[in-house]
Amino acid sequence: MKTNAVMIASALAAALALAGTASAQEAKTEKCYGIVKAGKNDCQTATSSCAGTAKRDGQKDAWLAVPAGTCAKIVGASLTPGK
Amino acid sequence: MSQGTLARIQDEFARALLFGDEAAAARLVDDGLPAAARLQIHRNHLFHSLTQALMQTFATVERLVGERFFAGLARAYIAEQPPRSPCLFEYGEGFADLIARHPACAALPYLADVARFDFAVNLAWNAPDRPAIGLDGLARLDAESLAGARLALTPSLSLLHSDYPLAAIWRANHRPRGEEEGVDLDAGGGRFMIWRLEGEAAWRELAPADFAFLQSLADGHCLGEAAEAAGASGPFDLAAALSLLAGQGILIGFRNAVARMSSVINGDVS
Repeated sequence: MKTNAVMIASALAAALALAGTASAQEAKTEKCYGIVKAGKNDCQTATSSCAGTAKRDGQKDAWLAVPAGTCAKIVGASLTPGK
Repeated sequence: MSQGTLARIQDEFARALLFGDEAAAARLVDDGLPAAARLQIHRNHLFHSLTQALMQTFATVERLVGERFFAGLARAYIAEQPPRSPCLFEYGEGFADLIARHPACAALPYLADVARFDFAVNLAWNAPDRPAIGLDGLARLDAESLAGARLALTPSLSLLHSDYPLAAIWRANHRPRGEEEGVDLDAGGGRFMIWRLEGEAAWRELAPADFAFLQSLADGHCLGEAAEAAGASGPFDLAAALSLLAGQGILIGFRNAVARMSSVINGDVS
């Protein structure tokens, strides 16, 4: 079915009529809480210019071992190789 | 010092920071600590700060793989794509693509899309504010102009189509530590819009046609073309899609008007 200008105009008219009832849809919207917003809005320096010295540079490849977080809780056939 | 020399020194210094290249150390004087050790402090600080910034932006990814694994990914990313802007909230655009092709992540095929979701949430928090317009702004147009109108959408909006249940993964990983829920990857994927609503990052899952409609508008197609693309993707209710746009603060005006306005602001009269 071809979408023509008249159909769009009438959909807009219908949407305008709907405007008062649209709030029912908002229930499906989710808001993200708990995100750190501050501290990234400029060149960040850690607590002092030497803060990085505590983190030694000796782990270049060691991390490749195994992820250690919550990914163990993600299960499913989609994980099998070749997906 | 000639321009060429300065450029070379800066290049050596950057290489020293990103790759541990030692040429720059030879140019530095020892001062209490050997030059190479002082350079190493700078290098550690660079990687540490940027890793912390990435960890905040990609909080779900970090929770999924753990701090150590994440730091390894971050190290690879920082060396490959150092920041181009001083604003750390903008950093990380290519991180998802690096995850997608990194061998260490091969067993975690969903991880790149989780990173895309995290980055979209980050953009939703940080994108500039633009006042939304309502549908009455469209109602002023005659039918022909309406069908040909190219709508401008809020810069906080991202559209993301994934084969994986990103919302469930996100939700499960933003519960208190130790209370994470399990997620079944086979639950199927989804199409998401992620944007800022009333000062908060928000997302909702979209039907295929609504997603195609928004994607087409975001790609710069006119309302008529977007409605056709949507109709080709599944059952589509244009009236409902328009009230979604306006009701959620997605619609901010018209592309031509926005382009014209920014060319006036930039003094770019062409």
